[in-house]
Amino acid sequence: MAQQTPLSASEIERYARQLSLPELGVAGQQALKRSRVLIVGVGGLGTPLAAYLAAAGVGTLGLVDDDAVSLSNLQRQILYTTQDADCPKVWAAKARLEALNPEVRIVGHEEALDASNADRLLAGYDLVADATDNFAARYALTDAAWRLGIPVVHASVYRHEGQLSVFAPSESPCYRCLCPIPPETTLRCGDAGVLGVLPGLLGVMQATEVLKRLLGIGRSLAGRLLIVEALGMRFTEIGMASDPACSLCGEGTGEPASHALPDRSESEDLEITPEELAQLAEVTFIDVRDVGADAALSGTRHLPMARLLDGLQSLPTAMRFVLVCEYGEQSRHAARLLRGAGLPHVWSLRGGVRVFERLSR
Amino acid sequence: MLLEVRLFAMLREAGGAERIQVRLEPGASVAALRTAIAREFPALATHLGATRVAANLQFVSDAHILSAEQEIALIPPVSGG
Repeated sequence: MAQQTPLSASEIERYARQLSLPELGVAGQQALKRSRVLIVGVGGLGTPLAAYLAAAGVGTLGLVDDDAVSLSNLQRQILYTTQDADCPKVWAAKARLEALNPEVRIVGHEEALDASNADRLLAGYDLVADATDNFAARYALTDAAWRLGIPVVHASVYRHEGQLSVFAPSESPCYRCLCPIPPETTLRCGDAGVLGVLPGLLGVMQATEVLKRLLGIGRSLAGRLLIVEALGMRFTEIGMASDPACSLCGEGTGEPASHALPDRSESEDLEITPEELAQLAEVTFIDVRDVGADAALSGTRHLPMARLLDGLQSLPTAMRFVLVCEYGEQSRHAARLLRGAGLPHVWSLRGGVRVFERLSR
Repeated sequence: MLLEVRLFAMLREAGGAERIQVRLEPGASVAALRTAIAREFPALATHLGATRVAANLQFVSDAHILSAEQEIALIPPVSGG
């Protein structure tokens, strides 16, 4: 097998510093060259991760993301430059990674991963790196990978903290053993705020676990959750055991449907697109982001998530409200809360602030 | 028994502290710990459903029996990227 992937003279020069590692060598480099890794999410975690994997010579890197580069990404998403603003992330990343290492193949998938396309996107890859920024995609990705027998190197962050683990069938518990109940509130980096280096730190650690796994060296994080606290600079390791009652990998259970996040069809009812919005007269926009009143979007009422239900009295049931947050995720939760509290005409603006700003131009 | 409980991520912000103390009957379970925390620290209540409990650096189920010597941690899932 090793003979089938010869290294060129330029590759031998490029990878000289790792070829001289006894546990890597020519055979290890050839193994990396044959490997296919799918990176889901090319944001704060995915950009440093992709850069190190491309630099190390992983033969095929797939990138999945439907987002475009914005200026507020550049504080942490280090593959992108100021000139990349508005460019789809997968294509900006592909160009940058090919410039870094023309020896590797970069495959862009400009779409959001969900339960409907996860099997198709994961097919043919040896390993998946979960670098997404929301629970719905994390469940869809890890469920599909588990079914297909593909190991997942998982990383996630919140403000100053990160979590890292490896989920591999027959070696470790699955993601649903760790996280059986989807949280009610989800904050993305854009909504919660994040120190730029934190996803960088976790993304590089994620790349380390990917390379270890491709090379078959070291001790995997499978079965352990590593928690990284940047402010205290503390690393805590928690042991995980498979949950016999797990809806995905437990005994005698089938569909994980009871714990599944609402699918697109349900959320679509809560969401409104700019096209649908154009059909509606007299709409009041509400900025639900947790920002100071002076930072609220102009032309909106400001009602942060934390005070949402307190502010309910001030929202007449006859009026139409469209909620806006950074990406349209928090506002969807807010819309569900307000509908549940008896407000019938309330929607979440799909796409969040960027779409709102385009509408108000 | 008085248990010291370490908080992570948004629980730390919601609880306003890195550690909280919870008094429980000897032999109490993780389920009893959850109930006590929801009662004494209402700000944490909304996060408890999805939060996992670890005792002595190992995730444990709600049926696990706690003792005062165990190091308890509440670990919520996070999803940022």
